[in-house]
Amino acid sequence: MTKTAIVGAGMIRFGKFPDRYIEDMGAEAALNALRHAGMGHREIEAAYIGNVRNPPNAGQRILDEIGLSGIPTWNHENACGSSSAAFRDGYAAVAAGLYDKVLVIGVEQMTRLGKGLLQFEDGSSLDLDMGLVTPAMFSLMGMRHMEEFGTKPEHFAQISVKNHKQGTMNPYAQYQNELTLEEVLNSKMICDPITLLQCTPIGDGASAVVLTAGKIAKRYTNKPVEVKASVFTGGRYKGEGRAVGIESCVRASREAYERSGIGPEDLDVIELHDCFTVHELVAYEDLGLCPKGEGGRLVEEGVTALGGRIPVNPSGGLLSKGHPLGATGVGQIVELVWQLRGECGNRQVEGAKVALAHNGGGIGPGIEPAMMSITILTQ
Amino acid sequence: MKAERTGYGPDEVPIREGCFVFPDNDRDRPRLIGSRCKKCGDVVFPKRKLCTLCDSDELMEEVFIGEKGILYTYTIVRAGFPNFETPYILGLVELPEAENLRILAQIEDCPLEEIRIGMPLEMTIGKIKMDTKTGKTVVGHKYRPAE
Repeated sequence: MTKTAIVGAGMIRFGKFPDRYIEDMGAEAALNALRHAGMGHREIEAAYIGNVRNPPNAGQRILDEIGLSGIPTWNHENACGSSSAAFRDGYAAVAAGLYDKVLVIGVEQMTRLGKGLLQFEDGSSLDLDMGLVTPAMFSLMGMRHMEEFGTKPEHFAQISVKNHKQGTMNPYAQYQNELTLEEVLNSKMICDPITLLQCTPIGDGASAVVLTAGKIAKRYTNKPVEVKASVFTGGRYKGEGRAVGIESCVRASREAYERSGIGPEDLDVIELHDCFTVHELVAYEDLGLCPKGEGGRLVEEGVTALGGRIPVNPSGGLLSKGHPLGATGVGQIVELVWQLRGECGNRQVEGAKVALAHNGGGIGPGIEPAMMSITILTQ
Repeated sequence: MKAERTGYGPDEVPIREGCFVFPDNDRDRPRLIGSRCKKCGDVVFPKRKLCTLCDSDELMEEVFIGEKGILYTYTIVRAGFPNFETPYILGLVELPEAENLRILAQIEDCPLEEIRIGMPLEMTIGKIKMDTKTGKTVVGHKYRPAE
């Protein structure tokens, strides 16, 4: 397998842009990534695009905007992990030696195309038809977690406080305001224990990275970020015996640790899928940052805040950035590339050399998320 | 003991065909229709064609399950889809017929302040939501505190 490097990363600020189209948002992010790489657009050999709601062949139209056409282009839908899936595919193609230079783009338009995270028609998903709103997937886990481990609503809510605080230092975050614990707890209850300010807002946005074969990375940057592992899998029915965690996260992260030779104790910074605060807390445990049940302790001790032992979501996470579905996966990679290159200003994690991106979501079988992506990067 | 409905009322439609059965001459309580593996005995709901646990290549057989369960976890949905009456309790109900057999269902006839993990439950058929296209009432499997 060929070593694979990320030589450029760019995005647009996430926000609410009902007048923007995925074609122009995707093109802007792609241009930012190419400029960051110092690579001419026509050097790109193949492109991978993650997007949920687009009309067909969005990728081809996005590329056309920046003057690229006639190259292999794949359009990925995988709910919250659409651009993580696109990234994994682009990485795998370079690693297999099929291409030396690929572009991966994540993009989504939600504010004009319709409310709500994921949209199904009646008859597709029995769970959705039964009334499983997206936060409820995680609320069910949160209530059981509180029962089994004594976790408190404050532990979940504090994650929103932490991520919003970190978001104030990210010019690309949709929301750049601090919140108090009281504000988070007293915001409208959506599904016990998750309140409104513990839910990621919807939004629009785009993100992009340029991947190259390792042997040519230094042509473009003296700080190439190496992709040590890129694992993508599906949620397993009856996977999590106790419904207080996500089996596919445990499984995918173990595989990523094995493939990379890097363990959870080696990580300097993490971007993870905080669609709801509960997800972030259980992910601490499923990623192996602490034993099952102790996620609350990490929150209490500030372990995962900037300045703590293992900062999580220095970008502000989905809670601050919002969750333009297709843009989220690559958006996490963009933040981590910038962190590993020391380009994050006030929210820089000092000396970050080893990073992990966790993206899991979608409605899967038996309330497991449908997909789980774990990526390990080093500089 | 609360009388169980034995069929659909006027203007009612099922949430899914082949998901549950009403009480009839053979049973005095409603049941879910699940699948059972003939080789390893595992049971799943909703039905599936092949076993999720073992490598048997025989199609799974239908089995009636779910008369009783235990509330494994729950949440109270206060902001939901527009055709649902909120607040409603959504639970994962653990069924005894196999390991890790937990199904999603609304919990009815339970005041919000009385819902508890570990409560014994019994299956019923009741209103899930309104069908916005037809204006009919969608009915399906639910659970309520066991008497």
